[in-house]
Amino acid sequence: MTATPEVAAPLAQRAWVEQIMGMPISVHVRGTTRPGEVADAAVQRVFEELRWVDATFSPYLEDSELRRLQRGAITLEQCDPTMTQVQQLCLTAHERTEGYFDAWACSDLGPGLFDPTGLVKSWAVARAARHLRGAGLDDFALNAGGDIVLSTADDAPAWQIGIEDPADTRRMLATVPIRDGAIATSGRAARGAHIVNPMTGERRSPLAAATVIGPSLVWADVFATAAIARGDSARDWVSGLSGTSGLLVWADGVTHTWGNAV
Amino acid sequence: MRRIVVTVGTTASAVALLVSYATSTHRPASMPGGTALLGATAAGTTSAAAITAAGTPTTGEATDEATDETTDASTSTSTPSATATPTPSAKASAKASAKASASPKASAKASPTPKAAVTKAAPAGVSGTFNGATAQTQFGPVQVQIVVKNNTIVSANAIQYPTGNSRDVMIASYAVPTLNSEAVQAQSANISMVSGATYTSNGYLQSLQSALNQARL
Repeated sequence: MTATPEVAAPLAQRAWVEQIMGMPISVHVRGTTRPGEVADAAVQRVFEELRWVDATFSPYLEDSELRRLQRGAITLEQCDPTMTQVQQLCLTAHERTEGYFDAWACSDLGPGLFDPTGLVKSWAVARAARHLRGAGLDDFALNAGGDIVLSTADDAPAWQIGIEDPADTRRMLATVPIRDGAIATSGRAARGAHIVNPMTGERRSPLAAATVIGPSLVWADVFATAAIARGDSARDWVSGLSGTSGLLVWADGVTHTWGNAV
Repeated sequence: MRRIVVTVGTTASAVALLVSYATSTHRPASMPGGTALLGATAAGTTSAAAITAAGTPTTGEATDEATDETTDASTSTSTPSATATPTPSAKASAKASAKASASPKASAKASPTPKAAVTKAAPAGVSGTFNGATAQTQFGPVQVQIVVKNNTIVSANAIQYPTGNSRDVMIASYAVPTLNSEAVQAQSANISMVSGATYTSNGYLQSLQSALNQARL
């Protein structure tokens, strides 16, 4: 898909979509408080930055910094500083998920290889949203393949987000209103069983999908991924994720919702 | 994201005062991964009195780059100004003009750091990266790092934070998904977009397209 900006008429909502990092990324801007050109320029900065992240962190491009780092052709110090940040973020994620998010246990390219792919997407998207805020936009959604950062203007209604039914992606299993924050869903629907339980190496999970809603897209994403890796014990684990809510869906259709006070 | 902006202001004001208390060196960013996510909020309204000391400049790199959804806010509407001298145990002053009502001055008096000193005049053009001391809060330890450029705080990040997710404490709790297929069907016309794991699948593209269609885009 290519960028499809609407005409700069005073539409109540505009959207842009580009295919980056192997997924459609869409920006939705509501309201008309800012000139259309301002939103256009901000959105293009978002896409531009995400393309740069893709070129730098792609595990599929042999000349990406990540691949060169994995091959030992360059050191971490020679990489862009964001590589260090992402690596440290992965360490933090490992800690906060009690090891169930492990960027050193998920690469198909070699054992122990650092592969932050499971986190880079949400990190990059959350980071890129600053271009929208920086342009004065306060009512937007930035949707990266179903993981979404949201902001709502004071006088605007909350975004209503549907949560896909993993058993039938044409249906929605639930809805949730979100004003400011993020929602991320992990599961096996996207690329088959791609989430590995780092404790066991098991790629199958009794969970079909995990959706986490919270203030940060990266942590929503990391927690959702860790929930899938955990499997059944995720039900208890999510009760400790303060300030989040969400939905777990088991393969047999059983669901569990939670909402934790902050 | 007004709540976050306000929180940043709160934190930055506390941090600015922290900076004015120079102490021993902290190992720079032992867990700087937190920078990207816990952003400026972690220390915001935690008990300022618990914060003991701070203010060692580091040569840590590029915290600027660590900005994310929260730290960006610190550079926008509520950026407080602060000044400090980036030398260990140096005198420094900090002026924080934060929107928030937090009054961290109490913590300043609580500081046991003998070398600390506050002056009213600050040298111009201070720039540097400063790590606050680790503060024990009811949620666990919090350590904040700020980047100052030309007397202005350009970012404030928690580089250490409680595992209890203190950032989340700052933000209102989130609605629980409504699990009611009939209601969902009835509401579907109002759904803005869809969260799902099928981001590379045709299913996702269809969802996206239907959302765009619903938005008449």
